[in-house]
Amino acid sequence: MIRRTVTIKNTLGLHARPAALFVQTAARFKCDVFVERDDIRVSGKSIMGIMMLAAEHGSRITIETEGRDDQECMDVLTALVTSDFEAD
Amino acid sequence: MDRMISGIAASPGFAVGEAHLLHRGEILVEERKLEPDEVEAEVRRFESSLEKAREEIEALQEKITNTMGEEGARIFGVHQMILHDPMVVEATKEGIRQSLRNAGAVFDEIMGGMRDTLSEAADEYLAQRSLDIEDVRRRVLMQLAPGGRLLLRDLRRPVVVVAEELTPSETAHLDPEKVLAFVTEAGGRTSHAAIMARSLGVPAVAGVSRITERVRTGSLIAVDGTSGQVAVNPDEYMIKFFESQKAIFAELERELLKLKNLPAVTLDGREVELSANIEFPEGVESALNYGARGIGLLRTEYLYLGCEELPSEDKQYSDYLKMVEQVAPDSVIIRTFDLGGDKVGVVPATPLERNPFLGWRAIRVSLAHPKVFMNQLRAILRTSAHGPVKLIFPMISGLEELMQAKEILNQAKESLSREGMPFDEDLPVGIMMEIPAACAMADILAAEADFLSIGTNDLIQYSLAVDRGNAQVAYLYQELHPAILRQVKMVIDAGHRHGKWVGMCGEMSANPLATMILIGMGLDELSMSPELLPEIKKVIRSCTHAEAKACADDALNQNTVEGVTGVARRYTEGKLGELVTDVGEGAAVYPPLLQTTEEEKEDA
Repeated sequence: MIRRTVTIKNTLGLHARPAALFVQTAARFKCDVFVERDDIRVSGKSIMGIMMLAAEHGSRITIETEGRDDQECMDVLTALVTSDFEAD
Repeated sequence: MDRMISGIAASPGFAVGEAHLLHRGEILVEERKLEPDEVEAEVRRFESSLEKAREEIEALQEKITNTMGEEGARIFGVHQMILHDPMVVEATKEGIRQSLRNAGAVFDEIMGGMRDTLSEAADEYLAQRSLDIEDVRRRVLMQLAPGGRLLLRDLRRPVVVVAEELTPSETAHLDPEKVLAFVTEAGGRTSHAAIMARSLGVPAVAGVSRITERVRTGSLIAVDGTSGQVAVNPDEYMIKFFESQKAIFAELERELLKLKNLPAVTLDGREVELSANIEFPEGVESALNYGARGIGLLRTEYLYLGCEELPSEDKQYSDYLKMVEQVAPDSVIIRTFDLGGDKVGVVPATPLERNPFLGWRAIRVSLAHPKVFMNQLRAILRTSAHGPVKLIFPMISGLEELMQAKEILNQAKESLSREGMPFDEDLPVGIMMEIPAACAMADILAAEADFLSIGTNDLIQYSLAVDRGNAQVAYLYQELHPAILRQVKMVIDAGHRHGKWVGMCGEMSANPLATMILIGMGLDELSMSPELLPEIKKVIRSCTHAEAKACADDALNQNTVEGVTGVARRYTEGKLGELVTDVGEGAAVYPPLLQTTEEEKEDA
């Protein structure tokens, strides 16, 4: 299991479309993905879950991956979140 | 307590109760317990509604991609993902199975909860995203709710329904046991919601500005539909006052009902037919209870509001037949579908109209859909074999339309004859006189029709160019306008010259100030919401025809609404006995402290 805490970079936060991108990316991997913010913990493969985090610009979320490809998955997801999701 | 707020008296009566706020387009979600053996079927119903919602979104996605490019359509990709999300889909299914509740209730709880959570996000932009959840919530609920309409029949306990406006299909299903009163921002005395409220005996106040902002669901609200006033958060004193008014109102009703079995005959022995306008099968009972002599107008489209498709000929036949048998030996005037205008929801995929009341509705829709029209005409004809039935066409604007409609009627008769089905060969065919053009052509139309019935609601709005649902101009909607009296007179005279029966089935028939004028002009029949019959009967039984004739002559000589109203008041005074002191506008006398001042009215 890998855990990593990252800061949201894109200006509008983890709103619908970045959330969708996050979930679509996570879904490409076999491992389990969870995301936490404060005391909320949700599946990283659920768009509703990610949206519920209401993670705005500058907020910190913790990503947790567990499974065969967890290292690769973590790298890709953290890269995504710390980028500006390419476009808002 | 907040101060009194004035509106338009739309349906008489008093009520005090808990407010239930209905936002524009709000979907009321049904809450139902499932039997264990219904559960899997309900899960499948949920799955198929998800599938339909996904298809809808896909179509939207494609459309937006074509018009705005992929960027614009991307948000619908998010909506699709929501509809595949286990937090939504699996959670709903599990909820249905575990709580044994219907899909709509469970899904609504889940989506509503997530929407509310997100909308409370500190970041405003993210909070706005709750709209996406809301959008998906609605889309699926619309699939789950029959007819995709909110259902007032699903209210759980008696409430005062407060809304910006109510569409006829929304009121169509309401359960009068659960609705204490209606309060709306839009609408006037003759909006369909008001008519419906009156026929159900539910008090209503319309045109109450910004009421939906002033009331919350659960607030106590007192409604006076007789004089058109509403009190939000009434104090104890006020509640007592309303309760006493309610008792007085009930007493008045009881007094008027004593007239039920007495004929509507003037002191000098001239009888006027008093009949009822009805929209639903239950209306027949109410009509008979209030002493109606037959049904002067059966608005058939109301029977099928909220249905997903128009009913078959057989279904219509059996529905009409039940009513005709109940009313016999008196007759039922069946009006063919008056769809369109503000009654949407039955004919699918009608394009949005900028001005629906001047648009594609009533006979225009029927003539454009000969199959639908033929079905209805055959059903009516078959009914006519079993009891006295008359047929009436709505919205006839000239001779051509009447002839076209009669031609299709002839085809319907021929097809029934070929099939050996019985019907009344001489089924009387009438015209709704509700377009000024038809009134101008009354002499020509009267020659071709068997009878005429004046539909004053539309006639007045078309003649005076007043949208009866628009609170800003509703004050211009005047039944006693000299222009209206002249047209009514013209129609009556034209009909009688051709030896034809002339009735009236608009709300004007129920205005006690107009009664003497109308019977004085020689109208054969007045048809109205059942509960208003006793009051009109009281006026008729209190005057002579000679007096009424003098009143009509006097009224026709007036140049202004004020002049006509003055004449009407002078003649009608005392005719309602001591029951109603101020005819026309009912008025509860509020203690001075509670009255709305003019300033406050303007402020409102």
